[in-house]
Amino acid sequence: MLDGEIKLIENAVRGKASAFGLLYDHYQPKIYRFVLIKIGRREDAEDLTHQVFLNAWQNISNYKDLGFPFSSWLYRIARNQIIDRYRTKKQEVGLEIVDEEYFSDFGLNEKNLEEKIQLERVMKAMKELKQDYQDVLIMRFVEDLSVKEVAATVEKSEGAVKLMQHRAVKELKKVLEKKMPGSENSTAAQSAK
Amino acid sequence: MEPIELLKKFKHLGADSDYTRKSKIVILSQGNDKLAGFSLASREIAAGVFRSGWSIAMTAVMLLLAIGSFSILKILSPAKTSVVDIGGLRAEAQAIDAQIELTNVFYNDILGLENKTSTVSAAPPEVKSPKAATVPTQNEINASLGSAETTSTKPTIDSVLDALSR
Repeated sequence: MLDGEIKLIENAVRGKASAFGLLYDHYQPKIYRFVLIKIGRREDAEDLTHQVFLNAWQNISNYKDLGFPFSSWLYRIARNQIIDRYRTKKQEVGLEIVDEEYFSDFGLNEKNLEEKIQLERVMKAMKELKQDYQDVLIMRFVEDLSVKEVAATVEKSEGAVKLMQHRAVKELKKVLEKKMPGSENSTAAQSAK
Repeated sequence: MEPIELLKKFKHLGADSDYTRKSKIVILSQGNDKLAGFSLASREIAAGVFRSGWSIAMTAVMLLLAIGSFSILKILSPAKTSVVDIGGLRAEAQAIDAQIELTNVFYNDILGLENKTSTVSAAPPEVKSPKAATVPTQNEINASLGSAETTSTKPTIDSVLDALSR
C-alpha cells in the first residue's frame, strides 16, 4: 500500500488530478503486468492498461472505501476490461493461429534466451487455465497480494481463493509438464507437425 | 522448475516509460466530467445561497431600520405621538354605537307599529324573518297607514316616508 494512500484517494475522489497521478504511478506497473500476462501482447496490454486508468479516473467519484485496498478496485476494472476484450476479439483470433506471433513482441529484456523461452512457455500454459485461476496466480505470485486482497478482487471468500490457488498451481504444473520439450504430448505434437 | 518460481520471474516486467508518461498525461488531461459537473452545480448552489442570504440580510436590515426609526421617533418626539387622543377615539366609537342603536330603535318602532296594527298575525314578532321585516308589502304599508289613522298614535311624516322608501 502506498504511503498516505487514503488521503491521496480522498483527494482523487474530489477530482484532484495530481493525487490520481500519484496513484497512477504506483499502480500502473502492477495493472500493466496483470494485463500483459493475461493478454500476451504489449500493444494490447498498453491499450487496455490505459483504458483501465481512464475508466478509473472517470468513475473515481463512485469509489467507496469498503475496507478493501484501492488496488482491488483497479484489478476489478482490469478484469472487466479483459473480459470485454475477449468477448469482442473471440471471433477474430484463435490462440492456436497466432501462438508464435502473439508472444514474439512480448517485450522481455532478457539476457538469457533460455529464460525468455521458459517465460513464454509459462504464459502459453497460463492461457490454458480458467480466467479465475489465472487471476489468482498472477495476483498471488507475481504481485504478492494477500489472500484477503485477492478475495476482494475476485469477489470470493478467502477460503475459496486458497482452494482456487491450490487447484491453479496444480493445473499449471500439469499443463507445463505437457508442454515440456521432452514430454510425451510435446513429442506427439512435434511429430504431428 | 516449480511453476511458482517461474511466475515470480514475471515481476520484472514493466511498461515502456515513454508510453507510461504519455498515457498519464492523456488520462489526466481528459478531466473528470462527473466531478466537473458536480463542482459546477455546487458553485451554482453556493451562489444561490449567497444571493438569497444577501437578500434576507437586506430585508432584516430594512426591518430593523423601520422598527428602530419608529422607536426613535417615539422617544424623541413624545408630543407628536401623543396627538392620538384615546379618550376622543373611545367617545367617537361610542357615538357610532349609539347611532346604530338609534337606528335599531327606529327599525323596531316600525315593526312594533306593524304588530300593533296586524290583528290577525299568527306568528310572534320575534320569529319574523328579517326579509319580511325589512321589505314590508303594500298591504302592510296600507294597513299601517290605515291603522295609524284609526289609532290614537299619529305617525310622523318621517316614519311614513321611511316605510314607503322601504
